[in-house]
This record gives sequence, structure tokens and C-alpha cells, in this order.
Amino acid sequence: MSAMTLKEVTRRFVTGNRSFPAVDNVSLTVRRGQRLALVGPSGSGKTTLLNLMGALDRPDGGTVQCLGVELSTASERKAADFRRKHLGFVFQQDALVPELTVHENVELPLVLLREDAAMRRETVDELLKALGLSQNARAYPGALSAGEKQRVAVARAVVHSPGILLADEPTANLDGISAGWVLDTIESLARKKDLTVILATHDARIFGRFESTIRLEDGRIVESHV
Amino acid sequence: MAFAIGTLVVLGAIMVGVNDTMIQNAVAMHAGHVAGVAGPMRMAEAMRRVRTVGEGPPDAAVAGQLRRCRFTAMLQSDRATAPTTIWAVAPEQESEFTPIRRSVREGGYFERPSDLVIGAGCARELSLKVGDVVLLTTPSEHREFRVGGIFDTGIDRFDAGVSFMTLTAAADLNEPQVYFERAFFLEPGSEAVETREGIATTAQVDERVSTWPELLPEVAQLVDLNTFSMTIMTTLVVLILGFGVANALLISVMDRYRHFAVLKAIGVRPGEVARVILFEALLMCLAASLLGTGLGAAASLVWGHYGLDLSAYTSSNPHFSVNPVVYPRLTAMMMFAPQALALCAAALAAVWPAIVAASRPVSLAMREA
Repeated sequence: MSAMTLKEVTRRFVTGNRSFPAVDNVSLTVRRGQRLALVGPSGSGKTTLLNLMGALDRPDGGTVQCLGVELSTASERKAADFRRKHLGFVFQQDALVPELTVHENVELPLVLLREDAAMRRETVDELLKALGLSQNARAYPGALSAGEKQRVAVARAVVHSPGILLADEPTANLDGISAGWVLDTIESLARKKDLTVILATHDARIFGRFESTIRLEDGRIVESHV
Repeated sequence: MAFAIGTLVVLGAIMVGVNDTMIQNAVAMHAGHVAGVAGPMRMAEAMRRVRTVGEGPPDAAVAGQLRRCRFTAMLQSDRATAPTTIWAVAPEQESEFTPIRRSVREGGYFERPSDLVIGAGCARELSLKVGDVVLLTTPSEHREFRVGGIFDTGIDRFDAGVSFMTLTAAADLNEPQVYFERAFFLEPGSEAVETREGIATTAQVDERVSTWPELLPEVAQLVDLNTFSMTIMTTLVVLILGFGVANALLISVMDRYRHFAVLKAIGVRPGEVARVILFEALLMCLAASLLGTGLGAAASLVWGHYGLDLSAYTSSNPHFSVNPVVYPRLTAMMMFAPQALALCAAALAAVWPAIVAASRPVSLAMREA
């Protein structure tokens, strides 16, 4: 079974009285354990495609199947439950809850899954230690650098061992060193937890680090190395 | 919100205090919170009842009981004649519950037991002053009395139409048309109807027991009107509060679209987002309500201790002429009703922002943030 299968997926947006396709008739299959980079210039449809893959948005046409579950027609509640168990998200920036500490932010997906407190504490402590973030466990996101925040966001995305990690421009606002840390973190966790990783980026530094690449332009796949 | 709820608690306490003062002033001038009346009967029989009718079973609500004899008579001076209602009373006991002793402007309040104490209106009509002699005429006899004091309550009908003598002096009269009265004064906050039931069970067959709203319907209506006005004001303030909460919450939710979108992306259900916002609104409102109620209650207690002199606004109002000082009093209803209403308003006000946050697509919220 594939991790993700998209068939003839289309998503249109309306601006004023003009309708344009952000994703236009896209079909692709992502294998389990595959590391796929969606690349392309700004406005090419990378984020929209990623949102459709994560059931954060609904296609106007076509189907999205994730780990065998049809997401394009799932109810909001069912989609939320699916994300809770099987997906991890890393956004471009500002994705941590500012009122929670680093430990609490990372713990959040486990709280939603109603894991017991001792297991949560142990899992989060281990993960933060592995990522070298233990000393920041009691800190609030406001006290962290941009690179540290993204690494915490990655930790939160994988703490519940989802099948798939979706990352939307995770290094866009980072300098070279921080971007390297974040990518190293994603790669090491993906290997360790056998994750399928789908990452949208226009950062040329990332292209070479991924085994598979799909290039998008104007919502269409124009180049595929899968 | 805390300030508004605190203000409502204080205003509620003032309203209760105003009602208390109006009732207290009215019942003190008339027949207490609960009155028993029997008659007409001969003076001897009325006096026998004054001496022999028991107190009845102890009732924590009853602060005191006054026994009186009432009859009508004519007062005649050298210059004029005027009708009057004579209340024969026990002066020391009366002083505890009625304002007549405090209202005496000339002379004294039964410094001599044989004196008559008359109202200022009556004294003017008959051109009497303290020390003058007045002729009291009933269908059965004529008797002269010395005017020992002149009271002025500010209530014209009372000052012109009611006179007092002691029970000792009345015992010498042979009046055949006398009413025996018992006036019961209740502790603050006690229910007159419940007390009436207790008194009625021990009353004599011919004694009619009534509550002050039955005897003074105009005062009861004023109290009801005051309560109704306060209810309308409380409702309006709470409605305005509700709009304020909805507005503030909607702005707060709009500021946190991205925050909620991130939560939904990691698996928080739309219903859970809505519940978080409702809970947040209720928690904020509860905290503000508790703070407001605490401050309002403290202010009301302090004000209730010192009183609020309304004489500048009530000098021509008969309901406040005897005692214009209002003592704000807290009741459970006026203390907790604003809180309960504010919580309901906050819950209702949070529904729309909660729906907005729960139903906003994650992708749209992330894109707009």
C-alpha cells in the first residue's frame, strides 16, 4: 500500500471574479518511507498540494488517498482524527503555541491521543534529549531562536510516530546553519521512525538531500524524479 | 465586566435598601409587617385583651409585638373641632419600633401618662400648643386632656388625623367602639406571609390577621415597581455586556486564526476548538464575576453599615419622611443574579466566535495569517 495517492486532483481559488487553478489535475503516488521534495517557485501550488495531502483543504476534483483512507470526502471530524494519529505537520514559522513551554508543545499530540502522563513525559524527554533541546524544555517559544523553534516544531510533528510527515517550507526563514540543523533533524527522525516525508520548498539547498523530487509550475507537475 | 457586575451588585443592594426603608417607614407608621385586628368591642374588653392575649409560639422572624387600642373621637379646642383616630399605646414599647417619639417637635413623648400627644396638622387646625387643654369627645363621654407633645412625621394625613394616648389613660374611658390591635415587627428579610400563617393559628376567632402588602397596597406596588426597574436595568447591562464579550472574543479569535489552524492541523477537532473558546469565555466571565461580586459585596456591606442619606432627594416624599436614610442590603438574589446572567450572556456571546474559529478552513487561516 502506498503512503499517498493523488488522482487527477484539482483545486481552484477565486480572486475577485477570476478563478484560477492552484493545483491542476495532479496525479502522483508516494511510497511508504519515501522522502519527497515538492519544489517550484512561489505560487506554483506546493503549499496547496501539501494542504490537500494533509486534509487541511478539500480538492474541487479528484481524490486524495492517504494510508488507504480517502481524505477528499472525509468529514472535518474524521479528517482531524486521521491527522491526529497518522500525520505530522511542520509549517514555515510561528506554529508553536506561545502559552505552552517547549515540553508542553511537543507533548500536545500525545495529549490529544490520550496517552498516559508517564508515557508522555518519557517520550518527550527522550525526543528532546535526542534533539539536544533538553535544556530548553521549560522555556517558552518566545525565548527560542528561529532554528530552535523549527526543531521543536519538528519534534512535535513526529513525537506520536505518525506515518507521514508533511513539511511546508520549514527552512524558508532560517539561515544556512539553522536550516542545516532542521534538515538534519528531519532526516534523522525520518530514518529512526521510518517516516514518509513530503516537503515543500523552493530552497535550492534542500533539493540534493532528497531522493525524490517533483517540480511544480502553475499547479502542474512539470518534472518528476520519483 | 468585573466593574459592571460589581456595580450591579451595589445597585441591587441599594434597591433592596430603598425597599426596606420604604417598607420600614410605612409599617412603622401603620400596623407593623403583620397586623391583627379585632373589634369593635368595649374598651374594658379591649384592655382585657391587651393584658391577657399571649405572645404565641416563639418565632425567630418576629422582632417585637405592640398591643394597642384604637377608636375614633372628636378633639375640641376653644377655636375649632377636628376628628381624630386615637391610638392608645404602651409608650416604652412603641418607642422601640415606631418613629413617633423621634418625631416629637414640641413638648415630650408621654412625660405624663395622662397626656395626649397630637400631630402638627391637628395642632395647627385647633390652634393648640403644648400645655393647652383639649376636649376629647366620643359618643359616650367627654373628657379633657393636656397636650403633652406635638409630633411631625411629614405625612400630612397622619399628622392631622392621628393622636396618641397611653393605655393607662385609655383604661379610664368607657368607649364602646374600640378595636384591639396587635402590630408585629419582623426581622429584616423575613417573609410576612409565612409569619402571618403562624400568628393566625394562635389568634382569637374574631382577630383578622393581615400582612403589610394587604394593608398598604400602594407601598407593595412601589416595591414591585422598584424591583421591576432594577430587573430591566440588570438585563440591559447584561445584554450590553454580552455584546462586549462577543466583540472582544471575536477580535481575540480573529487574532488567533493561525493559532487555531495549527491546533486543527495537529488533530484538534472543530468541536474541540469551539469548546475551548466557550470554556475560555466562561472562565474569563467567571473570574470577572467573582471579582466584581466580591468588590460589589464589600462596597455594599460598608455602605450598608454607614447608610445612604437620601434626604436631599426625598424631603417631599411621604415614604421617606420619617427616615430618609437607606441601608443597602445584600440578598442572595441580587448578589448572584448578575453573575448568573453574565455567565449565560458570555456563553451565548461566545457561540458565534466559537463557530467562526471552528469552521474556518485551516488552509485559509494559514494563508491569511
